[in-house]
Amino acid sequence: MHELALMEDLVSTVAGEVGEARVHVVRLEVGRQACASPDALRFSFEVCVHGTALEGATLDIVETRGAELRLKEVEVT
Amino acid sequence: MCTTCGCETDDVHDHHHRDHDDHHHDQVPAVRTLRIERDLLAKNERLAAVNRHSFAARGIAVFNLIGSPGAGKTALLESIIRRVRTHVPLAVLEGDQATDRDAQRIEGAGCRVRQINTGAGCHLDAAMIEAGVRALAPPRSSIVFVENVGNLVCPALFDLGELAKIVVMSVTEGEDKPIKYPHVFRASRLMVLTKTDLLPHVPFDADRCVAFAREVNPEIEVIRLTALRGEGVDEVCGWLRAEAARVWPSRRAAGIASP
Ligand SMILES: Nc1nc2c(ncn2[C@@H]2O[C@H](COP(=O)(O)OP(=O)(O)OP(=O)(O)O)[C@@H](O)[C@H]2O)c(=O)[nH]1
Ligand SMILES: [Mg+2]
Repeated sequence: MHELALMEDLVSTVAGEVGEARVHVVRLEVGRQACASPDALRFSFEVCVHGTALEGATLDIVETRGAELRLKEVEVT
Repeated sequence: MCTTCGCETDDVHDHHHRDHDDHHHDQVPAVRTLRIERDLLAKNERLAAVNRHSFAARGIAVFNLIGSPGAGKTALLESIIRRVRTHVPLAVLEGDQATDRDAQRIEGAGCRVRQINTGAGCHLDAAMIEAGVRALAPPRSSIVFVENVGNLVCPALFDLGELAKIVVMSVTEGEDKPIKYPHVFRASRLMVLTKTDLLPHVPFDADRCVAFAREVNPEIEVIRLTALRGEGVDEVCGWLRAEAARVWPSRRAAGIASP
Protein backbone atom coordinates (compact mmCIF):
# COMPACT_ATOMS: atom_id res chain seq x y z
CA MET A 1 0.00 0.00 0.00
CA HIS A 2 2.58 2.63 -0.94
CA GLU A 3 -0.35 4.46 -2.54
CA LEU A 4 -1.45 5.37 0.98
CA ALA A 5 1.85 7.12 1.70
CA LEU A 6 1.61 8.98 -1.62
CA MET A 7 -1.93 10.15 -0.91
CA GLU A 8 -1.02 11.34 2.60
CA ASP A 9 1.65 13.58 1.08
CA LEU A 10 -0.73 14.69 -1.67
CA VAL A 11 -3.42 15.76 0.79
CA SER A 12 -1.00 17.88 2.80
CA THR A 13 0.51 19.41 -0.36
CA VAL A 14 -2.90 20.37 -1.73
CA ALA A 15 -4.12 21.69 1.62
CA GLY A 16 -1.02 23.89 1.74
CA GLU A 17 -1.58 25.22 -1.79
CA VAL A 18 -5.28 26.07 -1.72
CA GLY A 19 -5.51 27.96 1.56
CA GLU A 20 -9.14 28.66 2.45
CA ALA A 21 -10.63 27.54 -0.87
CA ARG A 22 -12.90 24.52 -1.04
CA VAL A 23 -11.42 21.70 -3.14
CA HIS A 24 -13.78 19.83 -5.49
CA VAL A 25 -11.44 17.96 -7.79
CA VAL A 26 -7.82 16.91 -7.53
CA ARG A 27 -6.37 15.92 -10.89
CA LEU A 28 -3.42 13.57 -11.20
CA GLU A 29 -1.50 12.19 -14.11
CA VAL A 30 -0.59 8.55 -13.53
CA GLY A 31 1.48 6.69 -16.09
CA ARG A 32 1.04 3.01 -16.78
CA GLN A 33 4.72 2.49 -15.92
CA ALA A 34 4.45 4.49 -12.72
CA CYS A 35 4.15 1.55 -10.37
CA ALA A 36 1.07 2.95 -8.65
CA SER A 37 -2.40 1.61 -9.22
CA PRO A 38 -5.18 4.12 -9.96
CA ASP A 39 -7.69 2.05 -8.01
CA ALA A 40 -5.47 1.90 -4.96
CA LEU A 41 -4.76 5.63 -5.30
CA ARG A 42 -8.50 6.40 -5.39
CA PHE A 43 -9.10 4.21 -2.40
CA SER A 44 -6.23 5.69 -0.41
CA PHE A 45 -7.36 9.21 -1.33
CA GLU A 46 -10.77 8.52 0.20
CA VAL A 47 -9.10 7.29 3.36
CA CYS A 48 -6.68 10.21 3.58
CA VAL A 49 -9.10 13.10 2.96
CA HIS A 50 -11.36 11.95 5.76
CA GLY A 51 -11.49 14.72 8.36
CA THR A 52 -9.30 17.10 6.34
CA ALA A 53 -10.00 20.28 4.33
CA LEU A 54 -10.20 18.06 1.22
CA GLU A 55 -13.07 15.97 2.52
CA GLY A 56 -15.65 15.53 -0.26
CA ALA A 57 -13.20 16.21 -3.09
CA THR A 58 -12.97 13.77 -6.00
CA LEU A 59 -9.75 12.37 -7.34
CA ASP A 60 -9.60 12.56 -11.12
CA ILE A 61 -6.88 10.36 -12.57
CA VAL A 62 -5.70 10.92 -16.12
CA GLU A 63 -3.92 7.76 -17.21
CA THR A 64 -0.90 8.23 -19.44
CA ARG A 65 1.57 5.87 -21.08
CA GLY A 66 4.80 6.89 -19.38
CA ALA A 67 6.02 6.78 -15.79
CA GLU A 68 4.58 10.09 -14.63
CA LEU A 69 3.05 10.40 -11.20
CA ARG A 70 2.11 14.06 -11.01
CA LEU A 71 -0.31 16.30 -9.26
CA LYS A 72 -1.52 18.52 -12.14
CA GLU A 73 -4.21 20.83 -10.85
CA VAL A 74 -7.12 21.26 -8.49
CA GLU A 75 -10.59 22.69 -9.00
CA VAL A 76 -11.65 24.93 -6.17
CA THR A 77 -14.34 27.42 -5.25
CA MET B 1 -3.70 -3.76 9.76
CA CYS B 2 -7.10 -3.38 8.08
CA THR B 3 -6.71 -4.95 4.66
CA THR B 4 -9.55 -2.91 3.18
CA CYS B 5 -8.24 0.57 3.80
CA GLY B 6 -4.70 0.01 5.06
CA CYS B 7 -5.28 1.69 8.42
CA GLU B 8 -3.63 0.52 11.63
CA THR B 9 -6.59 -1.09 13.33
CA ASP B 10 -7.40 -4.79 13.24
CA ASP B 11 -11.05 -4.21 14.17
CA VAL B 12 -13.78 -4.42 11.61
CA HIS B 13 -15.06 -0.95 10.84
CA ASP B 14 -17.15 0.87 8.26
CA HIS B 15 -15.67 2.19 5.05
CA HIS B 16 -18.00 5.07 4.32
CA HIS B 17 -19.12 5.90 0.88
CA ARG B 18 -20.15 9.49 1.20
CA ASP B 19 -23.44 10.38 -0.41
CA HIS B 20 -23.20 13.30 -2.74
CA ASP B 21 -26.54 14.96 -1.96
CA ASP B 22 -24.83 17.83 -0.20
CA HIS B 23 -23.25 19.27 -3.32
CA HIS B 24 -25.40 22.29 -4.06
CA HIS B 25 -23.87 23.11 -7.40
CA ASP B 26 -26.30 25.92 -8.21
CA GLN B 27 -25.29 27.89 -5.12
CA VAL B 28 -21.51 27.60 -5.20
CA PRO B 29 -19.29 30.28 -6.71
CA ALA B 30 -17.57 29.64 -10.05
CA VAL B 31 -15.06 26.84 -10.08
CA ARG B 32 -11.45 27.95 -10.50
CA THR B 33 -8.66 25.69 -11.63
CA LEU B 34 -5.32 25.98 -9.86
CA ARG B 35 -2.39 24.43 -11.68
CA ILE B 36 0.04 22.89 -9.24
CA GLU B 37 2.29 20.55 -11.28
CA ARG B 38 4.13 18.62 -8.63
CA ASP B 39 5.70 15.18 -8.73
CA LEU B 40 3.97 12.95 -6.19
CA LEU B 41 7.24 11.48 -5.06
CA ALA B 42 8.83 14.91 -4.88
CA LYS B 43 9.15 14.96 -1.11
CA ASN B 44 10.85 11.56 -0.91
CA GLU B 45 12.98 12.30 -3.94
CA ARG B 46 14.20 15.57 -2.46
CA LEU B 47 15.20 13.83 0.76
CA ALA B 48 16.82 11.00 -1.21
CA ALA B 49 18.90 13.49 -3.18
CA VAL B 50 20.06 15.10 0.07
CA ASN B 51 20.93 11.64 1.47
CA ARG B 52 22.88 10.66 -1.65
CA HIS B 53 24.89 13.85 -1.54
CA SER B 54 25.57 13.61 2.19
CA PHE B 55 26.51 9.90 2.10
CA ALA B 56 28.95 10.52 -0.77
CA ALA B 57 30.45 13.53 1.02
CA ARG B 58 31.01 11.41 4.13
CA GLY B 59 32.37 8.41 2.17
CA ILE B 60 29.54 6.07 3.21
CA ALA B 61 28.44 3.44 0.68
CA VAL B 62 24.76 2.59 1.15
CA PHE B 63 23.23 -0.50 -0.49
CA ASN B 64 19.49 -1.11 -0.55
CA LEU B 65 18.57 -4.83 -0.54
CA ILE B 66 15.10 -5.59 -1.85
CA GLY B 67 13.38 -8.96 -2.20
CA SER B 68 10.24 -10.87 -1.34
CA PRO B 69 9.68 -12.15 2.21
CA GLY B 70 12.03 -15.04 2.89
CA ALA B 71 14.15 -14.54 -0.25
CA GLY B 72 17.27 -14.75 1.89
CA LYS B 73 18.27 -11.10 2.39
CA THR B 74 19.25 -11.46 6.04
CA ALA B 75 21.06 -14.75 5.41
CA LEU B 76 23.09 -13.06 2.66
CA LEU B 77 23.93 -10.14 4.96
CA GLU B 78 25.04 -12.55 7.70
CA SER B 79 27.46 -14.27 5.37
CA ILE B 80 28.81 -11.00 3.96
CA ILE B 81 29.30 -9.66 7.49
CA ARG B 82 31.28 -12.72 8.59
CA ARG B 83 33.64 -12.30 5.64
CA VAL B 84 34.08 -8.56 5.64
CA ARG B 85 33.66 -7.14 9.13
CA THR B 86 37.32 -7.33 10.09
CA HIS B 87 38.30 -5.36 6.96
CA VAL B 88 35.57 -2.76 6.56
CA PRO B 89 33.34 -0.92 9.05
CA LEU B 90 29.80 -2.18 8.45
CA ALA B 91 26.36 -1.30 9.73
CA VAL B 92 22.86 -2.46 8.87
CA LEU B 93 19.44 -0.81 8.88
CA GLU B 94 16.82 -3.55 9.15
CA GLY B 95 13.34 -2.82 7.81
CA ASP B 96 10.43 -5.06 8.81
CA GLN B 97 6.79 -4.44 9.58
CA ALA B 98 7.27 -5.92 13.05
CA THR B 99 9.81 -7.46 15.47
CA ASP B 100 13.55 -7.04 15.80
CA ARG B 101 14.33 -10.64 14.89
CA ASP B 102 16.46 -9.73 11.88
CA ALA B 103 18.34 -7.12 13.90
CA GLN B 104 19.15 -9.79 16.46
CA ARG B 105 20.52 -12.05 13.72
CA ILE B 106 22.68 -9.23 12.35
CA GLU B 107 23.94 -8.40 15.84
CA GLY B 108 24.67 -12.09 16.36
CA ALA B 109 26.83 -12.02 13.22
CA GLY B 110 28.83 -9.22 14.83
CA CYS B 111 27.54 -6.07 13.16
CA ARG B 112 26.10 -2.76 14.32
CA VAL B 113 22.42 -2.63 13.48
CA ARG B 114 19.24 -0.62 13.95
CA GLN B 115 15.80 -2.05 13.43
CA ILE B 116 13.11 0.05 11.74
CA ASN B 117 9.54 -1.23 12.18
CA THR B 118 7.14 0.16 9.61
CA GLY B 119 3.88 -1.12 11.14
CA ALA B 120 1.35 -1.04 8.29
CA GLY B 121 3.97 0.40 5.92
CA CYS B 122 5.28 -1.75 3.09
CA HIS B 123 8.55 0.05 2.30
CA LEU B 124 11.28 2.22 3.77
CA ASP B 125 11.54 5.84 2.71
CA ALA B 126 14.36 8.37 2.51
CA ALA B 127 13.46 10.06 5.81
CA MET B 128 13.76 6.76 7.71
CA ILE B 129 17.18 6.14 6.16
CA GLU B 130 18.38 9.63 7.03
CA ALA B 131 17.39 9.11 10.68
CA GLY B 132 18.77 5.56 10.75
CA VAL B 133 22.15 6.48 9.31
CA ARG B 134 22.38 9.46 11.64
CA ALA B 135 21.83 7.14 14.60
CA LEU B 136 24.40 4.60 13.35
CA ALA B 137 26.98 7.36 12.73
CA PRO B 138 29.11 5.21 10.40
CA PRO B 139 32.74 6.25 9.87
CA ARG B 140 34.33 7.28 6.58
CA SER B 141 35.00 4.42 4.09
CA SER B 142 32.25 2.24 5.53
CA ILE B 143 29.29 0.34 4.15
CA VAL B 144 25.70 0.60 5.37
CA PHE B 145 23.31 -2.10 4.19
CA VAL B 146 19.61 -1.38 4.19
CA GLU B 147 17.43 -4.48 4.26
CA ASN B 148 14.13 -3.24 2.92
CA VAL B 149 10.75 -4.62 3.99
CA GLY B 150 10.19 -8.01 2.33
CA ASN B 151 8.24 -6.93 -0.75
CA LEU B 152 8.98 -6.92 -4.47
CA VAL B 153 6.59 -4.10 -5.25
CA CYS B 154 6.55 -0.94 -3.14
CA PRO B 155 10.25 -0.54 -2.23
CA ALA B 156 11.07 -0.15 -5.94
CA LEU B 157 9.32 3.20 -5.95
CA PHE B 158 11.12 4.87 -3.05
CA ASP B 159 14.60 6.19 -3.66
CA LEU B 160 16.53 6.14 -0.39
CA GLY B 161 19.60 7.94 -1.68
CA GLU B 162 21.47 4.63 -1.84
CA LEU B 163 24.47 3.98 -4.03
CA ALA B 164 22.74 0.96 -5.59
CA LYS B 165 19.66 -1.17 -5.22
CA ILE B 166 20.28 -4.92 -5.10
CA VAL B 167 17.40 -7.29 -5.76
CA VAL B 168 17.66 -10.60 -3.92
CA MET B 169 15.67 -13.41 -5.44
CA SER B 170 15.81 -17.12 -4.61
CA VAL B 171 15.49 -20.12 -6.90
CA THR B 172 12.28 -21.21 -5.14
CA GLU B 173 10.39 -18.15 -6.35
CA GLY B 174 9.99 -19.12 -10.01
CA GLU B 175 12.07 -17.81 -12.90
CA ASP B 176 9.39 -15.45 -14.20
CA LYS B 177 9.52 -13.00 -11.27
CA PRO B 178 11.58 -10.40 -13.20
CA ILE B 179 8.88 -9.98 -15.81
CA LYS B 180 6.01 -10.22 -13.32
CA TYR B 181 7.49 -7.58 -10.99
CA PRO B 182 9.52 -5.56 -13.48
CA HIS B 183 9.88 -2.29 -11.55
CA VAL B 184 12.28 -3.57 -8.93
CA PHE B 185 14.41 -5.41 -11.49
CA ARG B 186 14.52 -2.28 -13.63
CA ALA B 187 15.61 -0.15 -10.67
CA SER B 188 18.32 -2.56 -9.45
CA ARG B 189 21.96 -2.62 -10.52
CA LEU B 190 22.56 -6.19 -9.30
CA MET B 191 20.38 -9.26 -9.09
CA VAL B 192 21.50 -11.83 -6.54
CA LEU B 193 20.09 -15.23 -7.38
CA THR B 194 20.30 -17.07 -4.09
CA LYS B 195 19.65 -20.54 -2.61
CA THR B 196 21.38 -22.16 -5.59
CA ASP B 197 22.08 -25.14 -3.31
CA LEU B 198 18.39 -25.98 -3.81
CA LEU B 199 18.63 -26.15 -7.61
CA PRO B 200 18.72 -29.98 -7.65
CA HIS B 201 15.38 -30.03 -5.82
CA VAL B 202 13.32 -27.40 -7.63
CA PRO B 203 12.42 -26.98 -11.29
CA PHE B 204 14.07 -23.60 -11.90
CA ASP B 205 15.81 -22.53 -15.10
CA ALA B 206 18.42 -20.02 -13.88
CA ASP B 207 19.48 -18.98 -17.40
CA ARG B 208 15.90 -18.26 -18.30
CA CYS B 209 15.49 -16.19 -15.13
CA VAL B 210 18.56 -14.12 -16.05
CA ALA B 211 17.18 -13.67 -19.58
CA PHE B 212 13.90 -12.40 -18.11
CA ALA B 213 15.78 -9.98 -15.86
CA ARG B 214 17.77 -8.63 -18.82
CA GLU B 215 14.53 -8.28 -20.78
CA VAL B 216 13.37 -5.62 -18.31
CA ASN B 217 16.85 -4.29 -17.52
CA PRO B 218 19.57 -5.08 -20.11
CA GLU B 219 22.25 -3.58 -17.81
CA ILE B 220 21.51 -5.63 -14.70
CA GLU B 221 24.44 -7.62 -13.32
CA VAL B 222 23.79 -11.09 -11.90
CA ILE B 223 25.55 -13.10 -9.22
CA ARG B 224 24.43 -16.62 -8.32
CA LEU B 225 25.11 -17.76 -4.78
CA THR B 226 24.16 -19.83 -1.80
CA ALA B 227 24.32 -18.19 1.59
CA LEU B 228 23.98 -21.64 3.14
CA ARG B 229 27.16 -23.08 1.60
CA GLY B 230 28.90 -19.77 0.87
CA GLU B 231 29.60 -20.20 -2.85
CA GLY B 232 29.25 -16.90 -4.69
CA VAL B 233 29.35 -14.71 -1.58
CA ASP B 234 32.96 -13.59 -2.27
CA GLU B 235 31.85 -12.45 -5.70
CA VAL B 236 29.19 -10.25 -4.10
CA CYS B 237 31.82 -8.83 -1.73
CA GLY B 238 33.99 -7.98 -4.73
CA TRP B 239 31.09 -6.27 -6.45
CA LEU B 240 30.34 -4.27 -3.30
CA ARG B 241 33.99 -3.19 -3.04
CA ALA B 242 34.06 -1.97 -6.63
CA GLU B 243 30.83 -0.02 -6.09
CA ALA B 244 31.84 1.40 -2.72
CA ALA B 245 35.11 2.66 -4.21
CA ARG B 246 33.03 5.24 -6.05
CA VAL B 247 32.31 7.10 -2.80
CA TRP B 248 35.16 5.98 -0.56
CA PRO B 249 37.93 8.53 -0.35
CA SER B 250 40.83 6.05 -0.15
CA ARG B 251 42.00 2.74 -1.60
CA ARG B 252 41.22 0.98 1.65
CA ALA B 253 38.51 -0.77 -0.37
CA ALA B 254 41.18 -3.25 -1.45
CA GLY B 255 40.72 -5.41 1.67
CA ILE B 256 37.07 -6.20 1.30
CA ALA B 257 37.10 -9.33 -0.87
CA SER B 258 39.95 -11.07 0.92
CA PRO B 259 38.80 -13.80 3.28
N1 LIG C 1 18.79 -23.61 1.27
C1 LIG C 1 19.00 -22.32 1.51
N2 LIG C 1 18.20 -21.67 2.37
C2 LIG C 1 18.43 -20.37 2.59
C3 LIG C 1 19.47 -19.66 1.92
N3 LIG C 1 19.42 -18.36 2.32
C4 LIG C 1 18.40 -18.27 3.19
N4 LIG C 1 17.80 -19.47 3.36
C5 LIG C 1 16.66 -19.77 4.22
O1 LIG C 1 15.53 -19.05 3.77
C6 LIG C 1 14.73 -18.61 4.86
C7 LIG C 1 14.54 -17.11 4.80
O2 LIG C 1 15.81 -16.47 4.91
P1 LIG C 1 15.95 -14.98 5.45
O3 LIG C 1 17.38 -14.62 5.34
O4 LIG C 1 15.28 -14.83 6.76
O5 LIG C 1 15.09 -14.21 4.35
P2 LIG C 1 14.73 -12.64 4.28
O6 LIG C 1 14.71 -12.28 2.85
O7 LIG C 1 15.64 -11.88 5.17
O8 LIG C 1 13.27 -12.62 4.88
P3 LIG C 1 12.39 -11.34 5.41
O9 LIG C 1 13.33 -10.44 6.16
O10 LIG C 1 11.38 -11.95 6.29
O11 LIG C 1 11.81 -10.70 4.20
C8 LIG C 1 15.45 -19.08 6.12
O12 LIG C 1 14.87 -20.28 6.54
C9 LIG C 1 16.87 -19.28 5.64
O13 LIG C 1 17.55 -20.25 6.39
C10 LIG C 1 20.30 -20.39 1.01
O14 LIG C 1 21.24 -19.87 0.39
N5 LIG C 1 20.01 -21.70 0.84
MG1 LIG D 1 15.21 -10.52 6.66
